[in-house]
Order: sequence, then C-alpha cells, then structure tokens
Amino acid sequence: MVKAEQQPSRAIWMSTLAKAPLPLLEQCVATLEDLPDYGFLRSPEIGLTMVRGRAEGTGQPFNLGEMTLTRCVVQLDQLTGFGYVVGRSKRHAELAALCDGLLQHPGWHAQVQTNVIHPLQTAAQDQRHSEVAAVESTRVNFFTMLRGES
Amino acid sequence: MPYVAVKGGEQAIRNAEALLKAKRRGDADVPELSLEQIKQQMQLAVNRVMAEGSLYDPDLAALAIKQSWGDLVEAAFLLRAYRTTLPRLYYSEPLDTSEMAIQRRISAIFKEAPGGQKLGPTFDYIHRLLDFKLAAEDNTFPAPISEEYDTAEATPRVAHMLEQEGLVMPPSNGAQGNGSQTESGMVGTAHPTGDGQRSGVEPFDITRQSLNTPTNRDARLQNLARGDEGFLLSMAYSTQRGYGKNHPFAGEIRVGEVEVSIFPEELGFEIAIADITVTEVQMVNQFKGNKEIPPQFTQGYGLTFGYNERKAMAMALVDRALQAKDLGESLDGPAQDEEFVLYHSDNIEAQGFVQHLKLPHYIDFQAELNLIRKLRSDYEHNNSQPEASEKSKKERSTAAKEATS
Amino acid sequence: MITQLAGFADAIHDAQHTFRALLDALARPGIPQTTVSLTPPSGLESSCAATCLTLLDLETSVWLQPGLPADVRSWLVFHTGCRFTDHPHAADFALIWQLNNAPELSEFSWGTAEYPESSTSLLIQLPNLTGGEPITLEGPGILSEIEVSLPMESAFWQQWETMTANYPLGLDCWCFAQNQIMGLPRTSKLTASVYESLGFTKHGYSY
Repeated sequence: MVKAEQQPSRAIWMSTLAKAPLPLLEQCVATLEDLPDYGFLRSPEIGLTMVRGRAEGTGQPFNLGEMTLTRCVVQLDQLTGFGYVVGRSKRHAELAALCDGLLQHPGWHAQVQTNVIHPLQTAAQDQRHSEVAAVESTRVNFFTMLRGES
Repeated sequence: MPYVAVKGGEQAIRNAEALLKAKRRGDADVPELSLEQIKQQMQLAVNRVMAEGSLYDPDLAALAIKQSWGDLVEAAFLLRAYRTTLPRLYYSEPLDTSEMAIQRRISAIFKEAPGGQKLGPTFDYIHRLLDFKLAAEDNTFPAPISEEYDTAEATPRVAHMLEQEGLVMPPSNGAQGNGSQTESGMVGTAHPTGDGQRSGVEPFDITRQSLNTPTNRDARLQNLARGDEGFLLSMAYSTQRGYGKNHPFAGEIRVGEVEVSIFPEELGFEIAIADITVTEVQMVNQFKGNKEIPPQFTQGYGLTFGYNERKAMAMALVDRALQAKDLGESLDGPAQDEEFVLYHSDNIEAQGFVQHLKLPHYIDFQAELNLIRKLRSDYEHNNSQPEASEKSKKERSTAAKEATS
Repeated sequence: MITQLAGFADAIHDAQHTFRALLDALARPGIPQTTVSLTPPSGLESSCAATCLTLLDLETSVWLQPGLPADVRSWLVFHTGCRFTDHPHAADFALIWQLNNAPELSEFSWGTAEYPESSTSLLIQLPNLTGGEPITLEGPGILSEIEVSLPMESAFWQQWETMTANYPLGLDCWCFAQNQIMGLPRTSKLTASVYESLGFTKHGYSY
C-alpha cells in the first residue's frame, strides 16, 4: 500500500485529470497527434462512491451520502492507464485513463505533461484565484467603537 | 387484511401522465428550461435535492427538478430511486473539512476567529424586499473582487480554540461506536476501506443495515444528513423554544469545496477525484456537567452536500439534542427522542406512507363501513331501550374492541 | 500487481446470463447449468470465474482457500472490488479448489435464526461434475429424487447430512467444472437409503 504522498506525481496528474472540465480536457487531448491504439481492460463504467465525513470534522467517521463516479482502465502496449472521475461521463473517464497511460510511457510523458496537465493545472489555479478574490471581498473587518468618555 | 386487486383505469393513467408532461412544459411559446439554467440559477434547490436525495450529482439533481415540475421532495425521490440502480464501487476517505476551500465562513462566538469571517454569498443582512428589477431578464451582476487575497490562508477550526483550553468535549474517534451494528445481528456487513486491514470499525450504514434504537452517532448523523429540511428545522426550533433546551451558539459555519479521495484497491494508492461543495456547522452548547464530566461546552454537528446552511444548522441542533441520553440529560422534548426523530426524518419514506392513502382502499373501507353501520345500529337499538342492561353494555364494549383490533 | 486479463466481454448481459444460470442451479439441484465462457486467470474454472464476476462486489467478503495463484486474487480485486477475509466464518463467499483439504462445513457461517441468508455461500471447484460415488438427493426443486455423482468423498456428505438437519441454517453451494455449474442448496437432503448405505448416523429429524 502506498499513500498518495509517496506516489506524488502520478496521484497528482490523475487528480488533475479527474477534476478537469471535460471540454478543456478534450481540447488539450486534441493537441496530441498520432495517439497509439488502446483497448479497455475495464470499459467505462458508472457507479457510486459513498462519501464519508467525520463528526466535528475530525472525530468519528459517518456515511454522508453517495456521489456518482465513472471509472475506466485502458490497455496501451504493456501499460495500464486508470481513470476515475466524478459524475457520469464515460468519455471523461476514458480520456483520463488514456492520459494516465500515456504519462507512464517514456515517449509520451513530457508531451502530455506540457499539452494536457499543465494547461489544466493553470486553468484550475486561475479559477481558484478568482474565487478566493471574490470571497475575500466579503471578509468582515470589525471596528471597535469607543463609547463614553475617554 | 388481504388486498384485493382492482383493475381498470389504464387509459386514464396513461392520459394523466401525458397531461402532466404537457402541463409541466407549459406554454410552448415560452422557452424550455435547460438543465444548465436550473443547475446555475436554482442552485440552492439543486443542493437541497442532492442532500435529501443523498446523491451528489448536480446534473442529475437538475434533471430531477425539471422532471418533478419543481417538486423538490419528488425530485429527491427520483435521485434516491436512481442511485439504487448503480453499484457502489468505493468508500471515500473521510472528508477533511479543515482543508476546505472557503466560500463562506462565519463564527458567532469569536469575532477574531483565525482565518477571518467571510460572509460569502448570503441572504443574511439583506432586506427581505422583493427586487422588481429581477423581473426583467437582462440582468448581469459582476462579482466583487478583492485585489489582495491569500490562496494559502489557513482557516483553523473555532472549536479547536476551546478544545485547547479543555472547555469543550473533544470529538470522539468512534472507537466505542457501532454498538448498533453488532446488535443488529447482521453478518458480513462490515465494509472496510482500503485493504481491509487499515480500519477496524466501519461506520454504520442506514442504506445497508436496519436502524435499531438505541443508535450511535454515526447512524444518527447519516440519517440527519439526508433528513427532510423542514422536519429538522422544526425539531431544531422546538429545542430553542424549550422542548429539550440546550442553549446553542453557532460556533462555526463554513461552506466551500472539499476534496473527495478514494483508495482504489486495484490501484494501490489514494487519489483525489473531485472537489464537492459542502456546508459544515459546529454548534457549541452549554453543558452543566454531571458526576463524571465537569461543566463544559458540548457540540452538535451538521454536514450536508451543497450550500444548505439552514439544514446544516438544524442538523447540528438536532444532533446535539439526540446526545441527551449519552450525556445523562433528562429527556424533555421530542427532538431528544431518537426513535421519534430518526424514524420520521426521511421525507421519501414519509411522503410515501402519507400519499399511499390516495390509492384505492375500497375494500378496506367497505369493511370499516359495515362495522360502523353495525355499531351504529347496536347503539341506536340500546339507546331506544332506556333500561339497557349490563349485558348490552358488555356487547357494546366487545364490538368496540373488534373495531380497534 | 494489476491483472492483464479482462473480465466479461459484455459485462451486463454476461452477468445476467450467469445470474440466471446460478438461480436455475439452486432451483433445480443436481441438474448442470452452463455459463458464458471467458478467459479466466489460471486457477479458476471458467464457470467459477463468471460466477465471481456476477456475485462479488465491494460489499462481499471472500475467503480464498490457500494455494491459488496470486493472479486470481488480483483479478478478483480488479474486476469485482471484493474484500478478502482469512476467517471462513466471516466470509459471504468461500472459494474452494481442493475440497479434500477444505475446512469442515461447520467452520463456515450457517447464518443466524434471524438472518439465515447471511450464511456463507460455497463456490467449489471440482475436476468434473461426475465420476464420484452416486448419491440421491431430495428436497425442493427435485421431483421425488435425483441421483448425482459429484466427485466428493463420503466425509463431505456426512457433514452435509449434519448441516441439513439444522435447516433453515446452513450453506448453499455451487459446484463448478469447466463452464458447468451444479447447485447444492441447503434444502437438498440425502435420501434415507443413501445415508444408511454410507453408514451414517441420522441427525435431527426423521424423513
């Protein structure tokens, strides 16, 4: 068993692919030319994940509710690429799995990092920045009112 | 009582469905609602449907709202029905709400809570006056932005400050939990995450195990998280009005995105697959203490899918009320009665049982009618004889017993 | 280790077909049923592999009789997500490939009086579904009685006899060879002539 921290690069790119908006992912994948043939070790499949929370945020775990998830595994030469995405898009799961497979391939890794992963990460960062900037504008600054004689 | 099948009405039923579809669409000259419109402009309805439908999927929730003609309980029902058609593939790691990407965060107990108070998009502090400008359809509202901001700013929990002083009961890790799981007598219901060796005690799952009282907090929180907002709101309100008073403060309310991580066994490591929006509420309540526990604050917890603040607050108050038994408090109000609360909180179950009364009960009622006619004739017969004997009184009470059995 | 072998070619229909075969096998004890064929990992019979894909998921715990190739386990994890247990009594399903070395039937869960269906289901791989001492069975789904010649030793039938006397508690079994399945539900009892001929002591109630 390997925790996420010990598998940084792969867990990170898989997460980037999972969270990407599908239109942008399609657009990035379209820039990759002469994609190799691949088959499915597991065809795209829709299912559920039971999402868990913790009492008080840090205490006893409990089942909060379910979430849709689509997964897919592609076979590419001797490599297997895994895709796990939230929602019900089989296409998204397939593209995520394909990119995961390519990223494990020495001949493809750099190109997929540059053409797919980096643009997706930049877009996510921009999105995050604009959200934080908006929320920040609603921060309350308290003033202490002096009352009576000083 | 056995049911007797009644046939007929097929054409009426088909037409009623067709009529519903036509009425739901309304005037064909008015553009049809798109799911994207519902998802974005009816977001709080989508959130409520996801929470009560117990399924996080904004696209499906929007479809359910469209299909249900805006009836949110019906929409939640559609989501619940849909989720039963899908296999459960994973259990997520518990959400780390401490690492939430904050959209809104307030504390009613510490003005200077580290991480700041951020109002986010809220109806609070807005006059409840109808905005007639909205009736026009060419509105654009640019979001305000702050030039200076810090994406790495930490937002530590407010309750943590009280914990450090030892003034609030620390969260239990659940090691004592799951009594109800073993009591249920089910075999093979534990579903470990990961490789099965990592966690010993699995949270109770009300979708897989039948809920028997007394319950533990894991089962209660799952039940409340999908419970009806209106029901929980009323229960919460009743505690404030004195039916099981526990003097609450909104310690912290936060809304934002948290990462959902899964640990696929076949992959062998953990990955974050999504950011989902949740609302988290930590209520802080006064507790006088008892023989074993000194006076301190206790907590009620609320967590829901989506931005669902009223529901999450109500959930936290009811969660605290349901801890009365564990804390040795007297049980004075309905909100403290777990059987009452947990067995009536689910609007899918409740609407089904209430609305089934619409279905034909012709035979049931015929039997009831015959019984009442007989009782009435006995009654009239006995009353017409003023010297009604002890014997006829006895007969009447026997008939009454039959009526109630 | 990640398996390189695919599961069903047509996940939904193949699983439905196999499920029907499994139902029929238990409904008609002693009559072999046929499953779809697939390429199983080495160590699994085709019919047993199809059954695993059909019945196992995240919410089932499986006991594997030790000694199966490692790829069986990784294939099951990949395609079904099932959990494994080292304790036969805790298993929803037990996969047996060497019946003679398997734990006694009493070591698996027979369910509880409240939930008899929570018992372990046994998946027993055999070289063939015939070739053993013929025995006759009776019970629901069998018109008077049926003769089967599963290659099982008399010790198994003795344990079976003890088990069926505890009905509704007990185990349901499926036996597999190549792409064939034979069901052996807890309701199938040995006929009186069989247990007498095998020299068994009768347990429980009379027939």
